Amino acid sequence: MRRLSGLLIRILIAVLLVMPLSGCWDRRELDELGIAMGLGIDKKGKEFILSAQIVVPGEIAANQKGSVEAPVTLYEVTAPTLFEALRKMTVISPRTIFLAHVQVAIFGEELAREGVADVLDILLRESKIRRDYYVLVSKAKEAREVLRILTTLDRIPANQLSNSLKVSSDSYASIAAIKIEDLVNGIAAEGDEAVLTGLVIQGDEQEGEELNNVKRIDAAARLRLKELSVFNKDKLMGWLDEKESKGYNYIKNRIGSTVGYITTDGGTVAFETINCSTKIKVRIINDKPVYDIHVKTLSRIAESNSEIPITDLEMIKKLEDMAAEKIVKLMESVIEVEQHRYKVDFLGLGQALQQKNAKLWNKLKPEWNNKLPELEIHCHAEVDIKKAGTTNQSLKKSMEET
Amino acid sequence: MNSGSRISSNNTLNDEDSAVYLHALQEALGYSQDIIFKKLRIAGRWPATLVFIEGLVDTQLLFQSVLESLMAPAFTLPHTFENTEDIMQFLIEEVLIAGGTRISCDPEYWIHALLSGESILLLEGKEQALIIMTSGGEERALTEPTSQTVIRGPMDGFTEGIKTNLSLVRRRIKDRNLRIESFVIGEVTSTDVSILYMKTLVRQEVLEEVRSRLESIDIDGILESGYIEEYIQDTALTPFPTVFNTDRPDVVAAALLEGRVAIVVSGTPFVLLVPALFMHFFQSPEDYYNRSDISTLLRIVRLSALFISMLVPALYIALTTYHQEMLPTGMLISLAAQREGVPFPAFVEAILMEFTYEILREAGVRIPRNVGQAISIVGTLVIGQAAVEAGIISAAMVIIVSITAISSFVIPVVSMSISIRIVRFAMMILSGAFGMVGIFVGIIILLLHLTSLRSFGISYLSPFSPSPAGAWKDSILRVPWPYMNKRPFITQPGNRRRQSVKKGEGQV
Repeated sequence: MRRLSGLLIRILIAVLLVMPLSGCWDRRELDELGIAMGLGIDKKGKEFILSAQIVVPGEIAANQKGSVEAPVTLYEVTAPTLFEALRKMTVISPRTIFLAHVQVAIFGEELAREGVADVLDILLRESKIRRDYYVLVSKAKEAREVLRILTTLDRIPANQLSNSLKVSSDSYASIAAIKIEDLVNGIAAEGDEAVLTGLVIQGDEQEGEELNNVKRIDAAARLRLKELSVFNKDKLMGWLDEKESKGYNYIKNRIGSTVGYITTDGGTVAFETINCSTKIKVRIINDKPVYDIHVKTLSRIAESNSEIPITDLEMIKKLEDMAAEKIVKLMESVIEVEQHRYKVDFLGLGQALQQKNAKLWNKLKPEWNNKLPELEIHCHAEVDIKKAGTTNQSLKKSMEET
Repeated sequence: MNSGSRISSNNTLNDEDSAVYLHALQEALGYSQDIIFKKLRIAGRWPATLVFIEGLVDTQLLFQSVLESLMAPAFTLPHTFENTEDIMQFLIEEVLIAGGTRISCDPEYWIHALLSGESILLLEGKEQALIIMTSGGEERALTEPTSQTVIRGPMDGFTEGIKTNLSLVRRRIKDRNLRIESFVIGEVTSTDVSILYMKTLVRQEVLEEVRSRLESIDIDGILESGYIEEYIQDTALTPFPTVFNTDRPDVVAAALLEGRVAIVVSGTPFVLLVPALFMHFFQSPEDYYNRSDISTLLRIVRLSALFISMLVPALYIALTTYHQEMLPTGMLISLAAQREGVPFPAFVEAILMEFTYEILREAGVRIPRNVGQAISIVGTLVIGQAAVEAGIISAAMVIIVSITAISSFVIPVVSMSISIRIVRFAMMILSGAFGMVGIFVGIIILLLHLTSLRSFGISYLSPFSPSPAGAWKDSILRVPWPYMNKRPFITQPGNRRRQSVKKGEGQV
């Protein structure tokens, strides 16, 4: 027993002595980290320009009032590879760049048009970066320029962007919140191409870089999410407008909640889509796929400036039909873009075919993009108006009656 | 009694004989001033000496039931006696009002009895003495138990007197199967130690084990039940207590009804209970007095407090120095902002603050009560606020230390919360060196250790591992009484039915 406990004590001492030897591998104190929230990637000739938006923690803290410094700082380096750029950043940064909390990555439009595959590799390979941040394309500007704009409300611009993406894709649906993994899947998948949301600076860019920008009520420059951009493989092809973007989201079943309106004789009625589901059905007729896109939405009347008697069930039926027609039009507009403007299958029609009939898809695959214009696509929409809100007749109608 | 052979045949008084005995007694006790030798004549005829120790006897009882009756001229001696025993017998049966009287001719025993508070009546010229139960004297009154407080429940606590303590239990369990066995432990202190158990409920092997472990104790003095605890625990190589202690009679009564054994030690209000399982230390007596739903909830709170007080500082170190990616972004930035300008690494900071807290706690316990307020002012203001404002410690660390401290007080039994404090420091060192990996290895080691522990042959972690059927009814859960049909698995096999099953079902 005594010999055993002596042995145990010796083992214990050995273990305790080993502990300081480890030197606390991988230990990083919080004040040794430069927490990167946004990454911007541009291309200049053959080299990459990597810009990282780093938080200045002291400026963000809850108890700091009346700050004099910008809440974030931006480091830019140019290097032939992104990994080198990351390491090179320590030349100007006093802290190691910590990438686990990146909220958004922004590609410059120029880079996007040349292809993002080279960039995506490190973003996937590096184990210290998460895969759940959003990706944006900076329209017409370079990514590093966009990252310079100061924002208020959310003082970290990258945070502002990611929150804005989430909120907007949930409640307006003219954009798509695409995470890095969605993008990679879109690029890698057969018969389905990627899209990315665009980003522009709205207002005076020069003033937007000043701290004064956030001291004004009406900021001189703001970051604004623009509609979707369409990719062919990893290269940006072009842009959709707002209607087409909405149509895209309807077809891709990405509508959480959105807003639509119809114009009647007596004025406009706005709807809120509460629930929306889309099914793409494929029929094979004469060895050719025929698509039926069914959209089913549950809506409520959100605003009525018309003289339509909302209490009238017949009238509601009419409104439903008109709203459905509107949705069909939205979808048709984006199908038109797919079939004729860009001739790129970003709606994922190929994938739908593959799931239905893999043999046929394999046969059509090599020439798929050229076959797009010939495809027969039917859109159907069904709108169900369930609620009319907390009042019945519109004020306009009530005024008339009295 | 042990009389007989040495009785002198004549009844004549022999001054020299008695003087020898008295002298021997005085010699043995070292002429201590508190030993009173009261000379008297019984019924005005027989000279005798009453020996007692001032302060250990109940003076009123002594005067009224012993001295008064002995010296009263009222009784008449019916006849002359054949031998000493007859005189003694006569005194016991017809003169002395005091109860618990016996005859002894062993001077060693007299001394022991004397030191236990009994009085000795020496008849002059006789070798035998009457030992009269007069023990009493000043004792602390029953007060509210202080170490385990409840809002609802009995408010009487054990005191230092073993008789009072045993009576407190007797009053709660009026059953003939409640057995009390007495031991005298300690070469010098001769401390009375009693074990209590329900004969029908206790596991025989546990009882045997308690007896044999108590008998094997060889020490000069027992001043508190902690001495005994260290002798009878299964292993000393553990930070966790395997013997329960309480100063609440209701807890002891409940434990006896569960088939456990109580060890009452004279001179301390803390009674030991064995076997003690891990879960027992997270159960407050109040759990059984309050409604079952709130009791269950509170037990969950206590177990959470266990993990908080054991792991939170370690987790803080691990998350802020190794695994920043695990923190929500907002929290990371907020923590980073607080750590701006703090000169120490998080590990040093945590050790520093936890150590400071331990000092404060210790000071709080040791400090004389009337200067106690100073400690709280220094503690809260100087160490809490000023350290943060001076930028030596981050505000988050103060929160961590506070939550750990408060959580450790949620654990109802102090001996367990002390163990958790030790484990906490080990965890902090592990996480400081190895991060999350260290913490989890620590938890695994801890679990292995806990499962290997036994308390008087019962697995320490039961009812979780092993998990006998039905034992979960009173573990984290506390089901309503009508549903607890069986006694816990600690009780004697074959006698586990607590109430008729039908009754429980009838009240569904």
